[in-house]
Amino acid sequence: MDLKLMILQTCTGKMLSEYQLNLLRKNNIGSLIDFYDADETKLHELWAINIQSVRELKKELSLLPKCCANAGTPDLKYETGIENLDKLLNSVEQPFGPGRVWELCGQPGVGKTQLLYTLAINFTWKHNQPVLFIDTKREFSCKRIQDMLRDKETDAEACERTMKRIQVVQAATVADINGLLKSFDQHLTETRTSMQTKLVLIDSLAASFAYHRGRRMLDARNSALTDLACRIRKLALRGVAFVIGNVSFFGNDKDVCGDDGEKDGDDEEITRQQLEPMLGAYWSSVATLRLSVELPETEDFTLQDDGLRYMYVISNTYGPDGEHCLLRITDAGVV
Amino acid sequence: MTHQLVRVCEPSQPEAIERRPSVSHENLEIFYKSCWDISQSGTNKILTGNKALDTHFGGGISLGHLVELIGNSGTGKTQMCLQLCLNVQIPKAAGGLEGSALFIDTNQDFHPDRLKELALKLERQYAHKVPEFKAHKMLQKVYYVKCHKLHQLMATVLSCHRHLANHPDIKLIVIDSLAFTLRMLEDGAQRYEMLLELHESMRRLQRHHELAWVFTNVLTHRYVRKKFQVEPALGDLHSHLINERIWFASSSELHLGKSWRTSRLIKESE
Repeated sequence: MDLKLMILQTCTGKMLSEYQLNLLRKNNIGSLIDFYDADETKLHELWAINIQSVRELKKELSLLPKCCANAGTPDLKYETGIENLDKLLNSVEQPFGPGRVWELCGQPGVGKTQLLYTLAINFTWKHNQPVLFIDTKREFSCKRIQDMLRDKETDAEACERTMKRIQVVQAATVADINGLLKSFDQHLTETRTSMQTKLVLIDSLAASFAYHRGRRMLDARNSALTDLACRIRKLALRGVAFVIGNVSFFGNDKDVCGDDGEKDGDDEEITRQQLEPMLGAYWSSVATLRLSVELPETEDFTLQDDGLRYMYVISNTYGPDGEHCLLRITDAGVV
Repeated sequence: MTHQLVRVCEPSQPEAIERRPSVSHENLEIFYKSCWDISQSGTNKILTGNKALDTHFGGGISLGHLVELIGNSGTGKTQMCLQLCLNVQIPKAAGGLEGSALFIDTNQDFHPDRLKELALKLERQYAHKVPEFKAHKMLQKVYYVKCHKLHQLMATVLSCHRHLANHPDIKLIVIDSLAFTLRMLEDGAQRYEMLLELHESMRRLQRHHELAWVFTNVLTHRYVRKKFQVEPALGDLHSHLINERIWFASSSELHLGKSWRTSRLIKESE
């Protein structure tokens, strides 16, 4: 079990800040044994807390019940169930696992929701654990889940079991999402190990921010976003994985005009601009991995969709970015 | 469903804007409903009348959705709107919702005669199942509002909660066409603002009432990557905020999808 998590479970450890905990790793204290071996005065200087507290912390750590070690092993890996995606994730050194915060971007209609549904189904299927699906657009469709399961040729009983494990909750605004995550956190504290839900999917975050617009709302938007980021990080520390849907557009015209198109395209800039996810610069640092689903580029715009999508890693906290893989959207989900 | 008066902040008051968006007081019980429970709950779909589309949607347009009908003029968008206004009234005995509809008309495309024809057709279709389902009653249950200007449209949408207080059985509100008045605004930023304002009030209404919004949109040209492309009007964020987009082609085929490239043909044979 992670040293950081163990320290957080002690009374004294709870007083420490994220920064102080990160200092441990910087000073090569990665495991419990390292921590015991570390000099008390060194820790005292490192954290700028008194020696008494350091001793207290060590004592409390030794008293921690050992049984919780099996609650979350650090190497525990999840699989997305999508072969190409798993390969890609391994190659960028960020396999799907507890505490991951992923963001999924893409143009409207590119298949983000389908991918989220696939992840939800695969996760309950493979790991036998419930997932929480936060729906901001009242869009959640049991029919689509059912159809996907049917196309996977699952029998009625397994189908029912899977569907029972997908918990759905509506949240229309950011405040709602924050409230939800707060009560999720409370559940986690109260019931501890009985909490099974280890994956939260949000579809889509951008939609819940559509009402924060204009200069007047900018501060409210930033504060809500920060609040959300804190809550997500807090839950991630306790082993909950997140996949968050976001939307991205070409160019940076998203805040200014409702482009009806007749007048834009007057400069060369647009041709070179990249897909840009919503929610600004601050949010871009929150997720540990940002994935972008894109249509393959073709010259022929009359071409009908063949279900092929490129998945790009646009930012990655733990490894390289810029890699991509090929996915195919089918009736049974994404493969 | 509670029929208490919906609290709507007037957007003109600056302090009201500060308070938005408020936390909706839905229960924050998170581990309450699973996908299975939802699939077991009763019907809440409006039949579209197009068999293939209905199969695809699992029985029609879901209440709680924002659905956009898009296509060039004369491809049957308004026809579908009128049909939906009638289909929402199908009695519960025949598996319908027994609701009523509000039709917001912006480009004067509403023909009572067309509606009557469709109603008579529907009456014949259900005559053996529910004989008391009559065309003249159907017409009474389609409420009609005419909005020439954008400010009228805004006012109508914002005051919809009052209509709903008087007629709690409204299950469908149609705006035909949404793009028409919005595109009369020259200023892009203002248009965008108005559009999002509309979206917000539509969603707010859905938080308190089980109803579907259906609106029509048109296609426009847009210059992307040195090429002219045909795209839906009203922008990308709008595309993201709606739930479904149904494409009407001149060949009377229907496609489904947010963008034309990713849309799928809905075949009759499915």
